[in-house]
Amino acid sequence: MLSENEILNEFRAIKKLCVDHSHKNLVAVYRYGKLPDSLYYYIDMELCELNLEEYIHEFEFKLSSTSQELPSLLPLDTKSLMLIMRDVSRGLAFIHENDEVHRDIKPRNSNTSYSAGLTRSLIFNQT
Amino acid sequence: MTDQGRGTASYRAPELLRPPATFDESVDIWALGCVLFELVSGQKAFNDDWYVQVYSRQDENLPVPLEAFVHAGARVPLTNLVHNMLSLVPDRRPRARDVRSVFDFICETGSFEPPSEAVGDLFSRICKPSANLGQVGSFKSIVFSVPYERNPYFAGRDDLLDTLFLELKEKRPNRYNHRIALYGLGGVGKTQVVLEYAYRHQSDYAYIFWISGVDRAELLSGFSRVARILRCGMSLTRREGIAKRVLQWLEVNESWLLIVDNVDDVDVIAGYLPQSDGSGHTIITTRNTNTAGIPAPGLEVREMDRDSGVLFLLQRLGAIDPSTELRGEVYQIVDAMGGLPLAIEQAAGYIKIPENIFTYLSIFNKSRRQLLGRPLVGNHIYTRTVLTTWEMSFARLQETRPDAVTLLQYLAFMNADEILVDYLRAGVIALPSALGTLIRDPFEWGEAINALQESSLIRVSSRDTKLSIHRLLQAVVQDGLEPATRKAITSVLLLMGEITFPKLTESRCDITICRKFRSQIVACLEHTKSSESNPSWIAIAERLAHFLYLEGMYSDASYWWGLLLSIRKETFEEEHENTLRCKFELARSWDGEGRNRDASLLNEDTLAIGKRVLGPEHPLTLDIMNSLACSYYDLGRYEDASGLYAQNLDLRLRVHGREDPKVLEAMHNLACSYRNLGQLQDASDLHAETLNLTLKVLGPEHPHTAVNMHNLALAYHSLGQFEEAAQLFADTSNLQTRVLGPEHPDTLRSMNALAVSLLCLGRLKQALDLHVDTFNIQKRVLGADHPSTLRTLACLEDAKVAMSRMQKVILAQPSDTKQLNPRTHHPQPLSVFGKTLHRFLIRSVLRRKVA
Repeated sequence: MLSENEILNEFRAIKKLCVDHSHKNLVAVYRYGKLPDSLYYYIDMELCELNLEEYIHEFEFKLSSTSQELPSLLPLDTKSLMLIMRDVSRGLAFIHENDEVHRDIKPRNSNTSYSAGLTRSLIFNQT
Repeated sequence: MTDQGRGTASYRAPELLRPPATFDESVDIWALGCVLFELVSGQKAFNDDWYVQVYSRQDENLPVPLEAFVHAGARVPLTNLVHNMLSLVPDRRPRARDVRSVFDFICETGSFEPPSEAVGDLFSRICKPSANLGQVGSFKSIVFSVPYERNPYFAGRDDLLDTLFLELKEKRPNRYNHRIALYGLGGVGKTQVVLEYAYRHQSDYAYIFWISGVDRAELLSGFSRVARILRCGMSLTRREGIAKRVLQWLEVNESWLLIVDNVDDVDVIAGYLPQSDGSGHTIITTRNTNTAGIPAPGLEVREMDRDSGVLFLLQRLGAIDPSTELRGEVYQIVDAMGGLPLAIEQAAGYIKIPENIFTYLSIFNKSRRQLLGRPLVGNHIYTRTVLTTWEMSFARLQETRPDAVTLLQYLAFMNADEILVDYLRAGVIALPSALGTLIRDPFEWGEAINALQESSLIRVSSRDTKLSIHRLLQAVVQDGLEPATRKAITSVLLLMGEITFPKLTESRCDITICRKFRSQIVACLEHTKSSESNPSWIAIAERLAHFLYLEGMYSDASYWWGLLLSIRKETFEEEHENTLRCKFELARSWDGEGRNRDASLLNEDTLAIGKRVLGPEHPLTLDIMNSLACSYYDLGRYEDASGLYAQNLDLRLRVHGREDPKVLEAMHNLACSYRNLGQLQDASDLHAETLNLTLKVLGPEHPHTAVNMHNLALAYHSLGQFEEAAQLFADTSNLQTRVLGPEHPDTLRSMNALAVSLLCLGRLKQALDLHVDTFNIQKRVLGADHPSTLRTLACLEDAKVAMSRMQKVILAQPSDTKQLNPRTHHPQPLSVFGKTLHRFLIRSVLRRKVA
């Protein structure tokens, strides 16, 4: 388990990178801290509609039920794949340039805000 | 930095799995590589239990080949990029900013082709194939350009495939490294082995290319195909130039496998083989054993071993749970095909379903040529048949060395597994003069043998001692001969047999030659069976059968005598002397085999005819009479035997005179029957007399002398003189081992008798060991139900009973004596026991008829 200090340090790092859309491919983080008189920590960040895991694995399902809601994601062609990869790698490159390591890159942590047409990496691990 | 257990299992870089888990930002690249893989293929690159995969090395491959999901233009760079991001070595993974630049470029231009200098460099740096050769976690090849599907029926060959991989990887001085030429007879499965290798080692190479090397045109178009895949040399028009460009590409890149199939003409690939100093490997398949000309170290593909062949055929026929009968038939077919995979494949193609299998061999024996030339139907990797592939070799050889083809025609009638060069030399006078000169001239001989060997038509263990040839190849050569040529070769070979294989006389001085050439002669007779009424064939067969009888190979001897008898019956009258001789010899061999009743019946019949046709004093009649007496004796009819022996002795004395071996034989036999009738003293005296005479007439080193010694020893034994008997038995078995060999039935009989005498002397352990040894050899040489074997088994049981009684006596001692010092108290119980045992043994042994 991480100690309280370590957790808050993590948050500080996240905040440093992500506050107020400092990089457009990272999910914006607004506030963080420990809930008073409890064991829970909180982080307040940008709302994203869809993460990549859903995008990849639940795509067919969504296609049949609510296809008209996801026009920009269709079809799953090479071009859109490349755009997603560009966005994620841009975000990751920014993190690395700031001497941080993400340590939990995965589809679930890559979120797409299709209103903005961008994929953003989430720098937080919901433990 | 150290890890504190963060990150989801499926996306964790391997260095995080092994404590102490130190890492840097490259773990993110690994994870990003996994994401990219998943985006492209829709499947996870590694499962959640991938820890297990990495640690057990069970699955080195990604679940699906990535390239299947990427459109053609992006295939090479994108799969390379994934492979590099998923490199096991963290330092080899690209940096995040480089990945970003590549994707920026792709998204901006919509192209996967790097145009500008700077981006192009970056591109080629991080999108070139990874050098993960042989490491955990490497993946299926990026390019897998193999024109054939994996053969689902491939069986066996694991050792060869492993050797091939090791040889390709290994680097040694003074040879061509990372390049192997697989050679072997056409149809032996070279291409199948390489194909299986390519599929098994997909994860070890980034690029696998398959090119046909049948001729220069095929080779060049193969290189052009590779060039198209690699997108290099596209601007060139001449195919030679394109090939050279591909070779350059191979030389600067790593982790490729180039297969050049069917290179029989070494000149075709001269100058078209890539150099490699590491992870680029070349495999060449060829029928040419002279792989030094390629140049490449050679590795031979041999026929399938019996079990793999059987497994292969069973799988091909879809026989999942074969009956014993079916399995036996499959074994026979695999043997008939000599384990040649293509021939087995053709057989399977003809048989189709297991129910048809039982008629196959008879059809095959009748229409060998048609079946071997029957093309495989359906979409098959190999369009040639066994027949066509070999006939191509013959045709090529006919142009370069016609004398080698002639030699091959003769070799086709010889012992496939082992042709002794000495045999050829011994019979060289019989051969046509051109061939004779070839064999006599060491240089020409070496050249001809090389030519045959280079087309893999024969195998040479040493140019001057032994050759071998595939039996199916022999069949094809034989079947391809004109009837006239075939007849000429047959008569030459028979003449050769007559010259080389001497008739064994009483002095046995030629026995070593006979032993050496036995298998050659058997093969010669088998191959020339069609002309079995030829006098030479019969003469050789008689010599062989006679030799086999003297060597104690009774069942082989009776096979040949039986065959000869049927031939004789056709050519001669039923009552001709030659027919009678055959019958007599056959009966004698039956006796040796233990078929005493059959033998006695045959002998009675023959004797009656002999007396009538040849007269009662004809040597053959006397021999038959003796033989009949022997049959009676072996059947336990000692009275009958003794009467006949006495009569026989009288007649022989009159005909031959006193010091003739035949007379001695009769005396000896009579003595034996005395012994069995209980006239022990008479027997022992007569035996002693016979032995002395035999020593005088035949000398001390003769099998007859040994037989006499044996029986004298038996007489001693019957008189209770065990010491003398044991001594004489030991001498006898030594003599027989020397003269007849350690596994001759007579030698074994003496050893068994020696063991019985030892038992009677109380030397239990020694006796038991000797019995066990003898029994095992007899079981192998004579068979488990031969009378001699059964007798040994009975003696063995006796010895065991004796042993267990001894143990009981020791165990029955009062418990306090057991705890006393065994050294001081040992003699007492044993000597008491010894007497009891002795009495028991004498009774039990005398009850049983010894030998």
